[in-house]
Amino acid sequence: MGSIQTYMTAGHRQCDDSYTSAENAVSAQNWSEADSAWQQFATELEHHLGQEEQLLFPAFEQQTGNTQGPTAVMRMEHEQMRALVADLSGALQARDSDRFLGLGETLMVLMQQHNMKEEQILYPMTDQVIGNSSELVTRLDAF
Amino acid sequence: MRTDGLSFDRIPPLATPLGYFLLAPLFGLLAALILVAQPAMLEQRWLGASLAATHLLALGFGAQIMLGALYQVMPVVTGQPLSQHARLPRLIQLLLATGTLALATGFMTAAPVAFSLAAIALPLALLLFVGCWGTALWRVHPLGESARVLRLAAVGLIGAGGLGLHQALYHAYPSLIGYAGELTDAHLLWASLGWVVMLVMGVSLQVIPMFHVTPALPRWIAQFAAPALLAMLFIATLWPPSRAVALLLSALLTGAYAIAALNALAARKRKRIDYTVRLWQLALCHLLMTALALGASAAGIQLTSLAGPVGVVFGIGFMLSVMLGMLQKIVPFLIYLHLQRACLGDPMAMMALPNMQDLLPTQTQRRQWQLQLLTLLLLYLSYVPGMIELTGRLAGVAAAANFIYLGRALWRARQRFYAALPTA
Ligand SMILES: [Fe+2]
Repeated sequence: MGSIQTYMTAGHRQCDDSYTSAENAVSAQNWSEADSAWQQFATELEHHLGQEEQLLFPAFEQQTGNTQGPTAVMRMEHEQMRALVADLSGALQARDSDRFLGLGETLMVLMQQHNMKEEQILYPMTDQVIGNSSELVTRLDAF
Repeated sequence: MRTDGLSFDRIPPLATPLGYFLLAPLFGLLAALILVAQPAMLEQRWLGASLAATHLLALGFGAQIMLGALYQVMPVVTGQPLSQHARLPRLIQLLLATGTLALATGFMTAAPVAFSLAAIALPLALLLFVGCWGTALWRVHPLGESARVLRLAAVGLIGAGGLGLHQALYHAYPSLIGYAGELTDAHLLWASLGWVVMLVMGVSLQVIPMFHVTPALPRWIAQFAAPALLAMLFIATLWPPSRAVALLLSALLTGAYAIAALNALAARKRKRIDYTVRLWQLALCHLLMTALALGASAAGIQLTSLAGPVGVVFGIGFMLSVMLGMLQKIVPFLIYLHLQRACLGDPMAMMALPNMQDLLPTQTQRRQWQLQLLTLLLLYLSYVPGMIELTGRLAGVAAAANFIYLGRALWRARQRFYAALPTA
């Protein structure tokens, strides 16, 4: 298996695609498709956040001895994303497309600036500090 | 590995970027008013009014926005924030604003003292800012594609500023400093391609694919096109015999970037109407037109009558469009981020927060887009023979409305921030 950078970045792209399907369906007021696409996105995102919080961040923290640094900020941003996802689920249930799209744009920008920090800095750094990244990738994949 | 210098969280206080953004439209407005008063400037590059308006737009508006945005973008894209020490951001902004006004006054009145003041304030602003920015860029590790291109943009900014300083000193002390016409062209080239285009290139590598869910921009942009473009600027400036070839290659590189970015945007997956996407597309089409004009003039096709229109195409069509599009994302996001942090741990307060669309409504974005199109249309109509007196003035009025509307939208977003801030 390849690097953490490649593996985790692919996870981001998959979440983006699912989110986009849900957003497109809501824009088209196609609610049944929106429900299933949103469900898929929420599951994928939670899975990705779990991979980071339970495996990747602890590995990074162990290697660098720093638990209050970048990973603490990443964990806080995960909470911010979860709060928005909960709001979005409510808007979807209420079939409120304006609110969904407004919150969705907000989640998208929050999520992307978060992903940039991970893809540009945290993932490549983790690849460098962890001796055997392919072993970690295997564990992430089994998560 | 050292991780303590790495900061994802030192997001600047809201007042830092917002202070830059709120001041910028005033300078744009001044430039627009000069156009209303002297529409002939659209055809005459060397008119005092043209030079004043150009610098109000480039430094007062453009640089102001770009610096403000870098305070926000740097920690996100590179993990390295710009220094907030000792109110440096305010000091830099003050120097930039003072220097810009002095420079514009100098061009309007030809008073050497105004140029002297500009020649002190602007280089100081440049030194302080490049000092902060360079330090942050120096520390970036590992070095991503965007950060690599941003380093080149910093070199471009130094080049543009250095050449500009030479010009200002000539106007301040004409008897001491010789005039060198080709250095004026070099200054323009470095400021537009070396600084503005390079910065936009570096930021767009991240921003376009991620925010709009498009395919990644091609790797050759960061690995080849950006360094080659900077190399061409050095060659064109330092080795005049090769100037034409270097400019032709610069035009090719710039055009290739514009086409690659337009392609990526055309393949975006998000289908919702997004005025930032439209502004990106408008901007990149204008960048392509700029590249064509630059290429044609380098190839020896006589386009002297095009100097005015190319300035409009680049300054208003490209630069202003990019800035308007970026602000529509950056400002509501920054405000939202600060609000959400203020409510963290209080789910009820969090639910009630305005989202990005509440902070900057789609309706407002559409109006801004329409005003931008109107401004451009009237500017183009001014080049129809015999029309300049009328449509040139009207274009100035439209541009003024464009900048006032922007300032109003930003101010309202700021008011919504204070209204939504939890009182506890
Ligand atoms: Fe994450």
